[in-house]
Amino acid sequence: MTELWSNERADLVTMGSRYMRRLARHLGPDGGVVERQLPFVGVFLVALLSLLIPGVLVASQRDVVIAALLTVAQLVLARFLPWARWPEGRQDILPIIQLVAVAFLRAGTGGPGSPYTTIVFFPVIALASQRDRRGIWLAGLGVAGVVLSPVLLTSTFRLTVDTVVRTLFVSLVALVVAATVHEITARLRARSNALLSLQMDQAVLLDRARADAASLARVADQRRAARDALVSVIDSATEQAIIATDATGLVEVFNAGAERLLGYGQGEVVGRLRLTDFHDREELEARRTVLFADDSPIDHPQTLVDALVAPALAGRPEVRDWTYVARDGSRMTVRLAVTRRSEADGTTTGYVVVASDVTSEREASRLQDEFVSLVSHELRTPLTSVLGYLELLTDGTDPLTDEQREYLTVIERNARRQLRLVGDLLLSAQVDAGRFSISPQRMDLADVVHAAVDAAKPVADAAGVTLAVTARETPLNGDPVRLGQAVDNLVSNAIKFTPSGGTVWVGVTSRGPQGSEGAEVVVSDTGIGIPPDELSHLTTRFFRASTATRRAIPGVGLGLSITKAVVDAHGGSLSITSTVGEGTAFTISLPATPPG
Amino acid sequence: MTPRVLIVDDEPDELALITRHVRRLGHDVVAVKSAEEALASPELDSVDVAIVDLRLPGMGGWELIDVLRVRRPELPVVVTSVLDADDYPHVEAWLPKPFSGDGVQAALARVLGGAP
Repeated sequence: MTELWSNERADLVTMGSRYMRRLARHLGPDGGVVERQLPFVGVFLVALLSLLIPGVLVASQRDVVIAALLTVAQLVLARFLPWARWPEGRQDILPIIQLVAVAFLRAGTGGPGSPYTTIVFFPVIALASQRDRRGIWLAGLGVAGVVLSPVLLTSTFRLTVDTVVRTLFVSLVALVVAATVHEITARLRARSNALLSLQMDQAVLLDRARADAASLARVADQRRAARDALVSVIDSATEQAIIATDATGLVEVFNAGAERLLGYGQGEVVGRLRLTDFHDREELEARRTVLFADDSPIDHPQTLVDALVAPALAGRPEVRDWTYVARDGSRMTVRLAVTRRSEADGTTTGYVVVASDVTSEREASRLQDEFVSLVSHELRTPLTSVLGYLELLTDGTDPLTDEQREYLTVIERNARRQLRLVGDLLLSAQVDAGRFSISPQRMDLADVVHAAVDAAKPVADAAGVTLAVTARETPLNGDPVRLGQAVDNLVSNAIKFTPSGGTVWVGVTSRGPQGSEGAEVVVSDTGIGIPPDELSHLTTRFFRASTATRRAIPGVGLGLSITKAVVDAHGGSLSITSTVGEGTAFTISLPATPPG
Repeated sequence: MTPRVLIVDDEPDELALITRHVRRLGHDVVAVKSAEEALASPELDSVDVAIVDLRLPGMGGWELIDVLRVRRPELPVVVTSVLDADDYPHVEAWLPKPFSGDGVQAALARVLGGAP
């Protein structure tokens, strides 16, 4: 009951007027208890006042005074005793005192006929409202006591049947009232408890929701901060264009570097333009034809996107040069790396493209190659005249002495050597510029090898090196001129690096029936060898092994790089094995048909 | 009738060399140092074959060959150059530099059909 009424008191304090609040203050710490006594006290006061009305019967003033004193006493007790510290049951004292007070009032106002008996229902209700069922019985007994009190307290009345019946009946009424009140208050209490419990649950849920909202806000802030950090990182790359798209190629991310490169603002591009919109369309179409062997008319932009991202989709991210067209129409060469973005389960969510402007590099490279080419051709020109007039001299009608002929031969030999060098330089520049191409045809590799050996015989004889060759018919698809150059280089190298008395052996073998699996050429020598750590650099342009430079063997270091370029263009491979001081073996492996 | 050969080359030494070889083969020679000279020459319409060097000052060898195709469509052309054969335009015979006397003879034989 304390909680029930405490709530009401709280309402009094929070919802009531200032009046009520002042009243609540005066009620003290256990205001609820005092409050409960007030109806009784109030009505009692009215009763007392009514006794002052002339004509109202007062049988015993002494009893009335006792009743009044008892009423005041219980009010004081209610105000000043520490009810909060005691078990609730002790509060029953107060209604019991009230009952006694009513008994005295009844006795003092005429006994059985007194209307003031009805005040007894205040303590009855008070007792019945208690949680404990004993309140009902106390009420019943109390009322019985009050009704019987004149008999008990005075000697004027005797115990008659009438008194007993009256007592019993009134007690019965009191009991039923008490029981009813108890039941009602019990239900009220249960409902109130349920409500309270719901309110507490609600408070807990609300707190949890607030906490969740706070943590959600924190997470959202963190994500925003992380995203901002990421965007700032991507935007800080102002020298590279970073473009991310969805699976259809529509741009989603367009960083500061991309804005700079292409001249578009981010807002103009994101969600509006496709990746392929920056490309040269013809270039894309050509690539599509190459990749998919399909040159039907393009009816859907996705086809062009496919041409761009196909390697990335296949799991082989590609880096290659493309032509970009900026917003103002200017063109540039970019090095593009296209990779695939995917979900955890592997589905493609889009693509990421990193582009760098290599226009100036490509231009510089192109100019360099053009320069080398130009110079090479200029270097050839005088040699044309040198060799041409040498021929006229040697084939001329005027007789030459043997000595003169010998000198002319030396001049011719050196002029040819220079010519070869210029040719190697030019070829090397072409390889570098990617302008190296082969013209494959049906040929016999053995012919090429024989020709190379024949050409090298004079040089080998002069150096005291034995040339041996093993070659049977070896059909192949390849460029005989280029392969000839490759083998020439290997053979002349072998002779150069083999001291007098050594041997250079050239062998050709066909693989598979009718050469269907390609062929192999081996050039091995008993020469000075190459240190193992230099083997991998051997085919680098202008590289010369330390064994060569130490022995001052002439050469610029181009031959092997050209040989490698020829072998690569045929889709073959070049392998080298060597032991310093014992010899070296070069092996060219060629497929039956070059790629492409 | 003695074949008349037009030779266009800006390098004097090379021009002289080719001229000598062609004369040795018994042909007549009209030697000029540039494409402009060739086109301005009155002999242009009477030569039987043209040997053209690709690297010429002013109008280049390629352009000259295009003009010759229009002006004298049936005139056979031999291209000579230090450049690689890959860069040659489509002509009847090639003479890569440096060349030998045999090379000149072979190229002319190809074009004129049989050495004289």
